[in-house]
Amino acid sequence: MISLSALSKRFPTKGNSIEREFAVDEISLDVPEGQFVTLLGPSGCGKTTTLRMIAGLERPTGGRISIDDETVYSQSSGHFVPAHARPIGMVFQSYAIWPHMTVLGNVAYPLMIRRGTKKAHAKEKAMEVLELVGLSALADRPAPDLSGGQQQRVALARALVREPRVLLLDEPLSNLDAGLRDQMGVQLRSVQRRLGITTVFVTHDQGEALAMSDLIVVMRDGKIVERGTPRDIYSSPKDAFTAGFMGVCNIVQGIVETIDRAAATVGSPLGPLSAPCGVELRTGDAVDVYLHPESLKLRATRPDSTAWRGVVKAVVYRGEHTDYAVQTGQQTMKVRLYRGSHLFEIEDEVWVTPLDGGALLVRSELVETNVSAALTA
Amino acid sequence: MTRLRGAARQPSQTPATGPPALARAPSDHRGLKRISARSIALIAAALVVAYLAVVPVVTMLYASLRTTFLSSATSSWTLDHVLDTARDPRFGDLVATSARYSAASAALATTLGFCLAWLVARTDCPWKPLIWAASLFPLILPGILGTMAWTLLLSPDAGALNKLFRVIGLPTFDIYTVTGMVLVEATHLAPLAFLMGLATFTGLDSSMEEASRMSGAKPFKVFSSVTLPLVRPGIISAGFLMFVLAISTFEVPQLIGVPGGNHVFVTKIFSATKEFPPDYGTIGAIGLYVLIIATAGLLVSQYFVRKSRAQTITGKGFRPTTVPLGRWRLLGRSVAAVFFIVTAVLPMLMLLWSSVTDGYRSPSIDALSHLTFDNYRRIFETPSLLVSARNSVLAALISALIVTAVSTVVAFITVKTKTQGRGVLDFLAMVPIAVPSIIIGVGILFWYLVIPLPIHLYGTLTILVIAYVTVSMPYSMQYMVAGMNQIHQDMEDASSTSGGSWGKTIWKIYLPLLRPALLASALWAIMLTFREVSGIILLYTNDNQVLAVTVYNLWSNGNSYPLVAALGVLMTLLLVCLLLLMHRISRGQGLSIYPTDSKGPMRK
Repeated sequence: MISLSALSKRFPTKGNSIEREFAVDEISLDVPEGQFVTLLGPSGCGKTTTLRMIAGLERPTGGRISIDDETVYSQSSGHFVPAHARPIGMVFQSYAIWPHMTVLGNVAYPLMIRRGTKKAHAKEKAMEVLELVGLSALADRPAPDLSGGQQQRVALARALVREPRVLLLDEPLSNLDAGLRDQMGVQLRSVQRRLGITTVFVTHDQGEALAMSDLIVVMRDGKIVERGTPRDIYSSPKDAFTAGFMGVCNIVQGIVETIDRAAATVGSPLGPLSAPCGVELRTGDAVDVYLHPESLKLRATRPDSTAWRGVVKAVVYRGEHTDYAVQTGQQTMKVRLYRGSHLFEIEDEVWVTPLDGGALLVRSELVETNVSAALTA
Repeated sequence: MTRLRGAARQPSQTPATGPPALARAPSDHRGLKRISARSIALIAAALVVAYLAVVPVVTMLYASLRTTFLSSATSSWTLDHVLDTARDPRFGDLVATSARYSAASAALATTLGFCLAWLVARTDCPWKPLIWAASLFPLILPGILGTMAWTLLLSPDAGALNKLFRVIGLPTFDIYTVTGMVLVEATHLAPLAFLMGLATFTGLDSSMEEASRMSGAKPFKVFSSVTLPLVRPGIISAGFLMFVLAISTFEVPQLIGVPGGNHVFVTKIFSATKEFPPDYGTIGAIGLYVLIIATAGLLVSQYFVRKSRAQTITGKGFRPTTVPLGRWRLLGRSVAAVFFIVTAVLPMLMLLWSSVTDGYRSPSIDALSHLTFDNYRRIFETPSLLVSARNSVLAALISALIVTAVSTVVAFITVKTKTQGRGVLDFLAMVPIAVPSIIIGVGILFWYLVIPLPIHLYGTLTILVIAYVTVSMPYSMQYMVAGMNQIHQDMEDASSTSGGSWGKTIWKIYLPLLRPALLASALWAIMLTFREVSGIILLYTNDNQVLAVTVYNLWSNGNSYPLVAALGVLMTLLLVCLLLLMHRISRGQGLSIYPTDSKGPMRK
């Protein structure tokens, strides 16, 4: 397991040697044994810096890191274990396959540089790991002859060969084609499961994060915004940033009118909305109601009095689904309908209804009075 | 009406205030607690560079500012040497000759070089390979041999070309004039100017010219209103660099200028060291003047390099369109041929001819019956020549090894670490390019005469190696910095996270990946060492002669031209082999043979 406490990395601001900015701002995180944890966030959020600090490639400026209860960095004691002495394996975004070696040479390297390793043993072990990633047939190829996907697997084999306690993955899928990316993601995850190795994965792609993780940690501006299972993070984010980052793009403002156990009714410009409470709320709280595009339904005829009237303003046909922009009142809603639904045309009159349980509530970032004013206006 | 917040909110609208740059920054394992192998290596390299770059210059400056130097008499600070040197009535002549010679050589070489570059880069001129071949020639034929060949061709009475002129009724040409110096120096510099011109023209996006043509401009108008203004900074920069190179050379002024009574700064320094007792103050003072001029010239050149880059950099991947020469093709062909003949064929033929004559004879039908290979045999029978050949090889190999090792570490510091002061180190490593090599020679000479070392370095190979390493440092740095830049930071990090210590990473990852750059740097250093005369001309004695110096001495004694020529031919052959080897290496690795990036022999 990995444990980070109040881990920070500050760096001098450009052109100013005294003032310092946080790249990573006192984050604390426990990665349980054998779990696959993803650091997710936009570029510059500090996720890669965090990973590099765990690796020992970047020296933190504050806090503590321990791997398997052994402290590898502590600001208070000045203790710092350099990268090469930590029990880690790492896969880089560029793969960093050494072009002057064969595939086997690359994979055997972590063993060969260990003092007292027998060459034959190292080779045997490296072949085993190559077998694991399905590349044993290419062992004697010069490394530069490989395709992107193969290089990625060599990088994984090299990271695993010395049986590290922790596997660190720095956007290892981002240089692959879309199709290959999914396939490699599945393989990566299955190898990780089989070995039961504690893994930290860094990505800016919410799709990868959802597909692969046991736990997603959303980061922004050097801080952890939210953490949770992929399901929680996608369907009931507690934070507006997370919701936005996960691609929920319809936001309706409203005020909580009634609360009935776990569900609340919200008064909104579009009419009353019912949604499960993700966070603790009281009557009168200003809230944002998030609606995933795929949890909205379009109908040609008015189903009931709660449906909102809208006009189709744009249609984007994408094969397995079709995206619509629907003007409802002052607001444009994004709606995604999957194959088999009725197709609408531009300027069609439609009726929009949220699917049951499709709406979720997040406490509004706006000052309450503004929302009330907007509502009564 | 109700007010709603922007519905289509995207995560990308969130301002990313974090530092993306830091995430990819070089790793930083400052082991404060213990002194690692890494820090020892880095500190040692930094000290070596600082020592090599600073010591010669400072010593020379010190000598020029002290009442006495290297004497038991009490010494104090003074400006007398500097002022007296300038007050000397002959100083005006010296300045005028130096200026005329350097400026004219630079102007001629730059004009010639850029015209040829335009022909090669922007026209369908035939016989481009000839121009290319000629541009490599200064690497093959050391300046001292080229200069000798030209005096054999154009000395007023016995010169082979002058004899030919007399036969066909043309006026003869006296090479021992400033004009002669300029012509010979220009043939040495033009190929370099050509390479710089080539970089300028290929860096110029032809779409800029096309845009002008689409706006209705005629070809000449396009050239004068778009092309010329865009390449002008490149031309000026090359011109100033040529000026600096011309004012720093030793070979042409010494072999052609001095016999005709035309002294320049460098020859003045040289002759002053031959006086007894040497006037260290005056030598230092003249050195100071050259240093100031060379540095100023180089700074101006750099200024225009930056300007030129700002104007022409357009990203790679475009293909310059070529101008059809049409009925001017014949002219283009002739220019290519003449350039090749003048810079390469004539001097080389002259050298070959002289090497097979028994006692020097001008080329003629009669002389054909006296041809002999005796000179080549004599080389192998003369112990002193064999010793200096052995010295040359030894010094070249050792210097190449040292300079490459040091610049590898320095390039590692400047490219791969965030160590404080790496900018200063980078600057120091480039200092020797601004210091004329004769001044490096003076500085080294003075310094090793002053410092109380247990062993006497004067007259040893060691002192030559020190000079060679200093002179070749900037070039070696170019290769190693380029090589380091090609290696992604992840290559090192992947080794660290695989359990590789710093030493293992250097040994198993960096060195193998840098191999092409290392070989290119070493080969360049070897070639430079074989050619270098001015940096070591003050440092040799009978005990540490090397080939280039032996050639100079035999020539100055004036009684064994054929032997010198034979020696020169062998040296040239050796350099051809080295160049071919280097060509093979650089070809596969995308490195250029000259240690230039795109705008001349300097990096910044």
